[in-house]
Amino acid sequence: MSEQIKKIVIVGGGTAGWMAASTLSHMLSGMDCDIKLIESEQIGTVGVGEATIPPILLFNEMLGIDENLFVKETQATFKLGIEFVNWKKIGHSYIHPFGDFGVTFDVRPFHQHWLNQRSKGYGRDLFDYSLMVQACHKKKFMRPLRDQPKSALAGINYAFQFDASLYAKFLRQYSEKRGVERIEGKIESVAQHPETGYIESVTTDDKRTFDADLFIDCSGFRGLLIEQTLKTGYEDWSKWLPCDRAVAIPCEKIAEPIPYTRATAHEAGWQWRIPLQHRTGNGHVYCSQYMDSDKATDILLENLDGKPIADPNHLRFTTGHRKKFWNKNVIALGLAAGFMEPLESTSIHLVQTGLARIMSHFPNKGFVQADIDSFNERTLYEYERVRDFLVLHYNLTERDDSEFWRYCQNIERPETLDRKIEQFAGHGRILENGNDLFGTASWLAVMYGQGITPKYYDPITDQADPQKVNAVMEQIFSAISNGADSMPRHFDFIKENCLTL
Amino acid sequence: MNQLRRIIIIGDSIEAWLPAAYLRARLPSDDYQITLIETAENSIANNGDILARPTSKNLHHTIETAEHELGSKAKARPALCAAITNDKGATINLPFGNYGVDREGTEFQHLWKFSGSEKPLSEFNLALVMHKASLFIPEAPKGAPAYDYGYILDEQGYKNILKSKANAKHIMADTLSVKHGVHGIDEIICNDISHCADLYIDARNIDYETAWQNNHLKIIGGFDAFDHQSGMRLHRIQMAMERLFKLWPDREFAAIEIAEYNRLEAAQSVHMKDMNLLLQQNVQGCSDALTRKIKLFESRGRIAIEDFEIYSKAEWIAALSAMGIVAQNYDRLAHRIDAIALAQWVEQLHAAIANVVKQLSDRKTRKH
Repeated sequence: MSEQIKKIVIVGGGTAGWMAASTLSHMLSGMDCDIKLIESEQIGTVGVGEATIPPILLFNEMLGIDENLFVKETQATFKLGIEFVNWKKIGHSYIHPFGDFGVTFDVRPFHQHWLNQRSKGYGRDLFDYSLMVQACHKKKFMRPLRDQPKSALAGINYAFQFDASLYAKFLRQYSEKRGVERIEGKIESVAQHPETGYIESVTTDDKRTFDADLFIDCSGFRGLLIEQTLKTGYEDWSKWLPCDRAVAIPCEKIAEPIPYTRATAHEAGWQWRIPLQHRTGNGHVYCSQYMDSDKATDILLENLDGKPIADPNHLRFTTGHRKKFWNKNVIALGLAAGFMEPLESTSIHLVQTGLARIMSHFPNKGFVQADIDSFNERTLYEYERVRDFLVLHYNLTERDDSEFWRYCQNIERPETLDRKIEQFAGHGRILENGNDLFGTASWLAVMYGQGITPKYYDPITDQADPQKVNAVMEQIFSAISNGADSMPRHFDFIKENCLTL
Repeated sequence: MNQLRRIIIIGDSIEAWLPAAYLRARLPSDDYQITLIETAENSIANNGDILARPTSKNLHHTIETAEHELGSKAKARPALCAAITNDKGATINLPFGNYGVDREGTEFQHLWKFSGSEKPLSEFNLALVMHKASLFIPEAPKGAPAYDYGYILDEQGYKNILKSKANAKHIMADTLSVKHGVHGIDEIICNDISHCADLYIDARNIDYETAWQNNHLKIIGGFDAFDHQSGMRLHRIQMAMERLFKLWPDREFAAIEIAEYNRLEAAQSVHMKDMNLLLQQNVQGCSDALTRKIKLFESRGRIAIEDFEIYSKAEWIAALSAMGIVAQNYDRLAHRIDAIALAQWVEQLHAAIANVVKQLSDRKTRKH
């Protein structure tokens, strides 16, 4: 196998850049491959992706990272779900939990039995059957009891909320230990092959030139290589996700951190609140067509839990993605690849899956087009599924208190989303495709949370004896409720295991 | 809710009796009436033997049919692969087991290629090797390439099993006519008597284009030599029933659910058609997915798995290799393992497989 990739240059640090560096240095260790990461301290990182979803555990595991150490080093907290406040209507809230509702029985999903019971006047709410929701309300957390598969506590599913800049620093240490060379500098020029257009080298402002076989573009929104150099083009998804600005500001923490992220809908967007060990991350994502930056900043400042500890950081973006995520010998990751607001904490996850795809399509210098096409198709498929899930939150609203929300109510849904909603609205069915990121429990939480009540339930559930079903559901509720009660408080768990000193 | 209670199934082969047995198992309540109208019109020929793929174990679990029952009543013999003879007379074996053993997240075909082994890849597939030697054990020994197995069944015996499980009202039709109306089938006139149902499952050999319309669900295809040899004949009936049960309708027959059923049916048909074209060594008119699959395999031996995939990676490798497509390269992650150590390990694995086969052959000879 000649023509191996021998040199990789990652352009840009930040979360995406250092995730790429750590993954590549780990996976390609001992393979005679030189990896350099070029970043400039003068260029700030966006760092809004501070909340994650459960697959991040696989990423850490793949790298062999000690979880307690990772939590300490990044001032992290644990996360069991996302609370959506004022999305359905003002004053309403629900939690999208990580993990299932109840347990499947009588060959039908739990929620179908619940819908059936509910049609007969049975009173408990769906969210009462989620261990993660109950734990969120009680501010509890512990790791799952994997060695006790019959316990309700075996099903705990979690992710992290962390300081993105500390995460980048943590991964930088990891990468440098494995041979990644960090280059301080701003990229001033890019050289392309005169015929193929492939990138040959980049030159920094201090006139150092770095050539490579493969370039990973983690340069953020501007897409230094993928867009500014290769003119790949951008697919604009604003018609589905119209927010195009954000203002971010951290504040002092005021209470013990809670094990969930909160997303509060406002007049023309929404506000995130991510509790960390040492501070709380906040931001206001909004649509500039309906709100100016001063008002957006005022709303954010009025809704902070504590005193601001930095100046507001204003960001502009266009929701969408590059027409090709991999173009010639450049692969874009993170904001350079595309942007979708962090409503469901997917930013870091998309970097993670992008890296997994790079590894499963790893090229040699020949850059086979079939590999590139496959990478691009699969990445686009994933972006589209995330897009659908985000649009769902906006589109299924009863809010009509502003122009923005009236627009959202009338968004023309992508066909794939429309099908999903119609299927649920009928018999409460949620049918997964093979490669969906968000599973049944996630769709159920948000579709029900946003106010869809299926017209019917699955007819098959009528076969079961309703009294027996009722008894089973009560048992499930008790197991979940007792399980949540028995968990330690979230902050106590941190103090016990992984408090940042 | 307007529950669907009465089901009429029309046909006379396993295409009819399998749905009857499956639905009886899933809908055990007496509230559900299942009637099977057996008609010789548009009959599906009995082929003597039928291949049940490993996935049929789920089906047999559902209809409470144990392996020994398949053995005693349907002369079940284990099948480690689907042996398909194409139009050119070549036989291609699609294995129900893996090629070699993956290591450190890298699939074996890449490790094999990197190791430079001169042994053919097929010799690292225990299912194929045992099939070739007419040997069988239900489970691969520890450390050997994993496999599963299906069955070759006597079709008539199998049909009798399904009949006994179906416990359906059975009508032999001397004459049969189907009356269609605006909302699908209105009634069936059988032996001059009218029969009505909420749902009609049509398992006759009729070339329908759409699988499900209103109250009329058809068991589509599965009647040609490829379907028969590949095990798709039984598999697609099983899939149809599992899909139907997942989307079990009420008498309103929601269009969105029928559309979903048809979408999944179509996706499945595309995979089957692609595999058939590949095995016939004529991929003209194949789907984009197969074109992609071929190119990806050609470049680096990778197998792309699509949504609602039917065939395993090993089956695709066997089919692509049979077509003469050779991977030009391999996944570089194979280099994570030291080349010399890898080459030794690959040879050891080959020897271990040969040893399994030898032991089984010796045992067979002694028994004989």
